[in-house]
Amino acid sequence: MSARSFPTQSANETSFVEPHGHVDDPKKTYEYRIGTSRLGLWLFLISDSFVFGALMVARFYLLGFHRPELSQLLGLAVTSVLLVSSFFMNRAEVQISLGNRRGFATNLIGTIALGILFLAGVVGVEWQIAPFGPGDGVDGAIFYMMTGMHAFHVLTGVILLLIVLRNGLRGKYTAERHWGVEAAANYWHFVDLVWIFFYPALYLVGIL
Amino acid sequence: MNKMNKMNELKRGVVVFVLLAVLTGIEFAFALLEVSFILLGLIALAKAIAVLWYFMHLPRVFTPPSEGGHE
Repeated sequence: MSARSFPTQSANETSFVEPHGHVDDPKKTYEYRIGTSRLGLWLFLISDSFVFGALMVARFYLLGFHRPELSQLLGLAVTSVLLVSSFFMNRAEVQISLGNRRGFATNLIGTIALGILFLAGVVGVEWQIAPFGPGDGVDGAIFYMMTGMHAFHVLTGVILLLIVLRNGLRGKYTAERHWGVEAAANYWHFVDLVWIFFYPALYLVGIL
Repeated sequence: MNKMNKMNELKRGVVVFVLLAVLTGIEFAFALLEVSFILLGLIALAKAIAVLWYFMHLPRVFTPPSEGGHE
């Protein structure tokens, strides 16, 4: 089959059918591709989770029930910001599936803004006020490695969401076909999922 | 999936968000009270399951695409 009749995923998601509207091979239908894409995305997320799992193991192995001296209020604030961003992301995905492009864009912009706010809270504030640097012993090494790796994923998530926003504003997603939105949303929720475990591990578990 | 189901999905998003916010508050309070770390772990696990199930739509992986979000 030619590239013209079966465009790549980055092309307009509304053009996943043959020019004459009929697909002979069931493996080349949009539905089939969505199924395999979902599986691929989940395999990627599972593989990525091993990195974070290793960091969690390192944290408990090296620090045990001692926790780094960190601002509790700031920790709760950035956690809340990420939680609200996940809520907006969920709304953005539902809005595009309803065909509401305005609602989709509004909620997605909210998600992006909160993602940037989270980065500012962790990297811009928490890193500056922490009583230790990355080279100041185990506390610093664990804290900066865990938050740094997570912040990197938040940053890549924000970039991904900006691309999805641009595509959305250009009308590339419809109520029926919006795999790009679903994939970006799943990645964003994954980043939130990781923080669900990192937050108690860094801020709550153990004694000073 | 029809429009009514999608509207229900919006409402469910609000319920899950409130649940996650309440659990985060409980988590924070437990930490201040220095409650067992096992409880903190269980709360984190409950939050993770809610996110996986309702926000990340884990069941969609095991259902045909025509029944799982994209019509």
